[in-house]
Amino acid sequence: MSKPYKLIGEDVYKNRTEKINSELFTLTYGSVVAQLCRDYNNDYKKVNEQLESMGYNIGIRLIEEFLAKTNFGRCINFKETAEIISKVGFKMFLNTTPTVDNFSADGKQFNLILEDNPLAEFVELPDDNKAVKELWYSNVLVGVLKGALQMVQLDVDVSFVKDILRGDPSTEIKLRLNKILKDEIPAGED
Amino acid sequence: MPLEYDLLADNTINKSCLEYLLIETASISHEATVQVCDNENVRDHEQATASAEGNLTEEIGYNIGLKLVDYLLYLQKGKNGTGTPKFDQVVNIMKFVCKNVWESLFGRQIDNLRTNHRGTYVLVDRSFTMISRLDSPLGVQDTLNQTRKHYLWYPCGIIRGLLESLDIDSTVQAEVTEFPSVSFHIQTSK
Repeated sequence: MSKPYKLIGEDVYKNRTEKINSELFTLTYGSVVAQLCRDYNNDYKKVNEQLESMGYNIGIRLIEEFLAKTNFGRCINFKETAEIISKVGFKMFLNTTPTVDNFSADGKQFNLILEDNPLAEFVELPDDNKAVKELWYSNVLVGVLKGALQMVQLDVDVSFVKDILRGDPSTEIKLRLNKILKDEIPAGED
Repeated sequence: MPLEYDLLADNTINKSCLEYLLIETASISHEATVQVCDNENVRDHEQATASAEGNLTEEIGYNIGLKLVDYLLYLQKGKNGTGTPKFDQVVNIMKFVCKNVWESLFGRQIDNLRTNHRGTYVLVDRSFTMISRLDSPLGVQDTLNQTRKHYLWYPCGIIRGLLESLDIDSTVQAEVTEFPSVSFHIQTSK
């Protein structure tokens, strides 16, 4: 019997990654977001977009590290994908394990609840009545998930639905599977 | 008396996260600079890229550096309340940077600290962790060039911000000759 994902995630994080202080990352991400807000004159919609596109670029690179370190094959269904994202993916990169919740009846949609969001520690949104409505502070994660999943042939809509920073009770990301992209295998490989 | 920060034991994430983020940051600041150059009809593209772009990523580092000293000292105080480093001389501050700051941020100490006793300090990290995994498809020389151009602004900014918050004006330049060994040249006004 194969090991449960929780143990795999912990094992990969503990033994196969180089680690740094998470506060340094939190501060850096905060500075990047602040810089973007300044660059776009507090046009938070554009900031969200820019964060997502940065995330997308990160996602398509990050999946390689993920596959190399875990040796996972194809998931049998989206439920398995959800488990792996939360217990292995988030664990191995951000050292946190979000909860998978609200799986829809058709098995194509779920929410990730981030009890612990290393991106947003010590963060307060600007007090301009606009940021709390428009800015998704951790939107880079949306791009990362989208980019990484696309590289494993899953076309998924990802968006934030709640954020503690906005005064919501929790931080939640919604993932909905659109379709499974056609697998194109380069000639000469199997 | 040695300070004890076991930040690394408390709160860590995968180093890759920060690396990915910094690569994206370098890329957006590069785009921003190119845009500015085009708008202002600047001919000398390369020159402008090397400085203006640096300002953006460097500024992100600088903002982190400014906050860092307080934060490190606060943690230190929480631990045992004694052994606060003496910041009476610039050289002691540099030692603080080499040991405590570097260790808590990058997990290792600076290998070598030199000074001419007239305000210039050289810090050598023989294996600077933030660049150790960079590798250009165009070969070693290109890796060196790209690193020089894009990826050393961040630590330079951190050092400058840190010294600034301890009331020392400085200019910081990084040089990499033998990958991944980086020397930081700090010119202080005191």
